[in-house]
Amino acid sequence: MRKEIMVIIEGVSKEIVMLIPMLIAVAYMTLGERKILGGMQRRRGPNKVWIVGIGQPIADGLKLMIKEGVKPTRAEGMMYKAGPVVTWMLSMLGWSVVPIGEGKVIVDIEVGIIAWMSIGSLGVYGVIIGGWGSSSQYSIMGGLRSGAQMVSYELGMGVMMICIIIIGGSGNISRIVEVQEGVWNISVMMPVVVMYLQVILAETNRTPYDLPEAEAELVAGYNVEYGGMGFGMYFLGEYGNIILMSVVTSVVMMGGWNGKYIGGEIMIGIKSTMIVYMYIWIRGTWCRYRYDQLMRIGWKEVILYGGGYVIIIGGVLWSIGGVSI
Amino acid sequence: MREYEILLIVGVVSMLLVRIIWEIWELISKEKKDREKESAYECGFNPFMEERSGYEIRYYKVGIMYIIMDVEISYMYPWSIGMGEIGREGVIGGIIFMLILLIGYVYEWKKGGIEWE
Repeated sequence: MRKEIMVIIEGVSKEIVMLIPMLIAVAYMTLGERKILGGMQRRRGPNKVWIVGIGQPIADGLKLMIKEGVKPTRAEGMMYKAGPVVTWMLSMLGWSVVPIGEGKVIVDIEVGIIAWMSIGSLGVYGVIIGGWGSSSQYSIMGGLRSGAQMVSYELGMGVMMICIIIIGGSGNISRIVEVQEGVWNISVMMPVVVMYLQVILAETNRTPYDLPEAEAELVAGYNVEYGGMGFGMYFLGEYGNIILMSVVTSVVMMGGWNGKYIGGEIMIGIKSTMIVYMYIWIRGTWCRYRYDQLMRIGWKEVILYGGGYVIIIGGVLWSIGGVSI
Repeated sequence: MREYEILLIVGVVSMLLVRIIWEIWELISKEKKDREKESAYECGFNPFMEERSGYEIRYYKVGIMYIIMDVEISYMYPWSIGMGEIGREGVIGGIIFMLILLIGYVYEWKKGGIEWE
């Protein structure tokens, strides 16, 4: 009995320690996004609340919290509520398997990267349940689009992760970082690394693959019927996923916390901030693909070349004895 | 095993937490009921289409194809993790398995299964 209580206390405390920095990161990523996009368009972005707009995310959060929630009469109560809850919950759960420093991880399991992939795959449910449950034709179409896009690119993510597992020789993310001490995976994976970037953009529904958004024809995609904190939860979940994806990329691709002069969490912070900046930069400069182009890239290019690269890297590494046990 | 127990607890706690935030929001935000406001979203009209009146078969097709391909990719994970230990036969076997996948993939492609139009 005492052991169970200890496990529960450990889980809850780790959850809280993870949650608060995540909320702050998401809040300030939204501010950073607005500032950077403003700078790219020669505007200032938010600069009124407190000094240079530092208080803007907090003001926005409070506003979402006291905002009226309009639940459509036809919406399915249970599913309508479940959509945002599932999205945000999975976005928090994903953090629990990703290390942000040597030994600094909530659950250090042997199949960490596969666990992370499967938690990420469940994210489709939040979107589809929310879109379907709010019973508007636009939200249903947006949810289906988003779901189809996310599952298509899930496959690409799968083959990329197989390459990374082969190089690391293990599914444990800490082990994958140790292997990258000399050479980053980004150079070993060079032929497919651009496709990896496409996949992480498409998985998080960002420009140039932000088709679920579709302001012109679907108004906002799957979350059109949500207001107030329901929208806020979707928002937090999506931005949390972006930051998580950046951290994972910097861990599995860019050498993680290895560093000569500065190492550890600061190094991960710098690398993932660079990737988050890349997300915003792409949003500020690129235009959107069409849906058939998205499907063509996903199904005919990413899976084909990624799968081919699995064979190449497996064969080459195995034949030169580079596969670690 | 302990690690997985913690993972379960983190999941349950985060779900409860999110649910509690939702309830607090419903409590402190006051809702003014209005028939127009609560009808399904439409650009300035009354909703003129029955919701869930059907959706395109292509999404369903993508879903089915995803299941097939994803199961196939899931089979590759154990192979990739144990690659250092399975010896030559194992590695070649895995590559042959991928080539068999390639046959199915080419078949799908030629049948037009992965065309969006």
